[in-house]
Amino acid sequence: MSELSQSDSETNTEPIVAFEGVSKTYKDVQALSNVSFEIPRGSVFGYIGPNGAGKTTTIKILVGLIRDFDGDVYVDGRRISEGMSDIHRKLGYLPQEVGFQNWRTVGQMLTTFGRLSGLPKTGLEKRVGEVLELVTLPDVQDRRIVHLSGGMQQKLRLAQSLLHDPELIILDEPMSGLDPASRHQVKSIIKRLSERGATVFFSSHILSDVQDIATLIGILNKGQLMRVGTPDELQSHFQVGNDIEIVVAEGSVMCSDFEDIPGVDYLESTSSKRQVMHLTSDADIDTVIAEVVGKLLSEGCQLRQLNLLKPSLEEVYLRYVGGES
Amino acid sequence: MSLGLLFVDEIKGFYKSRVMAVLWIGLPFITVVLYAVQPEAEGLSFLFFVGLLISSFGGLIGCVTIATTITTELSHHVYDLFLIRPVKRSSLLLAKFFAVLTCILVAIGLAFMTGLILDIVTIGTPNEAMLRGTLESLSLSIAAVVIACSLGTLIGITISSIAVSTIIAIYAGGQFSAIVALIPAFLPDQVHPVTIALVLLITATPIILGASVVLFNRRQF
Repeated sequence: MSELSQSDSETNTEPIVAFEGVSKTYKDVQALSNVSFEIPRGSVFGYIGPNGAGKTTTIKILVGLIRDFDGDVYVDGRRISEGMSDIHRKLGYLPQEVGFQNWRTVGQMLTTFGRLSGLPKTGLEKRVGEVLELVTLPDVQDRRIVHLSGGMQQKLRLAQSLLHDPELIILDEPMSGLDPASRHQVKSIIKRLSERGATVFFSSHILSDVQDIATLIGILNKGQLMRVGTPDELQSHFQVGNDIEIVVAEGSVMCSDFEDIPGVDYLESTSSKRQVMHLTSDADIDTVIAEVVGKLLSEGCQLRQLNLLKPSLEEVYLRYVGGES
Repeated sequence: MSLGLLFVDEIKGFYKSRVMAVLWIGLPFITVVLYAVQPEAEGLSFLFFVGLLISSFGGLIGCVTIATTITTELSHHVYDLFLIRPVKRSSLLLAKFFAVLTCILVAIGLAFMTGLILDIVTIGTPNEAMLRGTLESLSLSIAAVVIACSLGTLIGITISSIAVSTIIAIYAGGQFSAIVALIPAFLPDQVHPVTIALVLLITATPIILGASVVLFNRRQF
């Protein structure tokens, strides 16, 4: 991203994306129902939900592939129905499902898309090389796309979305079909893009990936946006109970009367030296920890570790979508 | 600007996917082969024979080529990556139309050149009346090809099944070529075939292409 646009993104506080009461129906199926949210500039927005929740529909509306919907969508303050051509210059899109014509080579495809995105002819070849290097696909320029592996094609899809250095990058299941090393690379690329000022909106089924990189998460279920927030906000909103893990020394006595402490729901012994204490959702963690430490010391337990276990995104997600996935 | 870029891209595609080679070499080749196996072709001008063949197959080839290309690419989500760029949807469709049309018109030109050369070699230089007659029938054939290509565009974007699209394009393209070739027979002799060709081109093509563009603009991807 250029310095100018980076500085713009730092000073402009207007959200780069705003959905206002967006609904979409396919014949009798309500794909989206009154969806409203905003994405601040520079954030990494993870969009999660079960299959058929409406994630791809949301994304296709945002990039202008679906035009027939109710409500308003704004990108960079402009309603998409009024200035899609200008908006397209600012966004890069990696579709979940896309085909390539059999005759296209990697270099030819990227050159064509670069030109169509408004990049000048001079320097385009260099830019294509840079983007392929970024997604770790060097030396494939002359290869036909259909001869690349699934993972390589996915990286190529990512490359085309970054070609014109867009401010807003929309990725529909970017980690799909990638091996663990490639997933790690893609996550690093997303983090780097965000550090450089770009806004990333991505959908994923892999919740650990979302937890790793998203600064903001939206949970969609049956076409309804359940909640948008930071990972911490989502966890606290649902008041998912925290757990405390107690590990004592080998051969030490393990205390067993923690259940009397207010805020403790129940205890679970996972081994002779390890216990997990499940707290109620309204428990005051500091009070519980103080009581636990006091008891352990007074009873002569040789404490080795006391860990506060936060609920994973998966637990929060399952609470929101009711276990469907 | 994007229309020009897309047109060049399509032409490259037809070249690299060998569609162009099949048309440019295939059409003249088929003409010669059919002439050779035709029992009643003895003494018949090659040029006249080419004219007959083009009027029978030109529209069919155009209609099928464009309809199947568009239906296949739509079903494989090929256009999604084009449409998320500052490109007008109409440009994408028109680039495809003009690219197919260009390939077929060049193929027709090559077939006629082959016919002319073979005529010169076998029966001598064609006389003016024969050339005029051939060019008049060629103008009607070209009008049929252009309209059939626009019809193929419409079929391609409205039919989602590749098999159904191909069948309808074969039927529509073939029937349409035959109907256009018959039109002069139903009109008074004073109406010149070139006039008929021009009227057909000017009226039918923009209407069918316009309808295709409107439908393509409304399409949800």
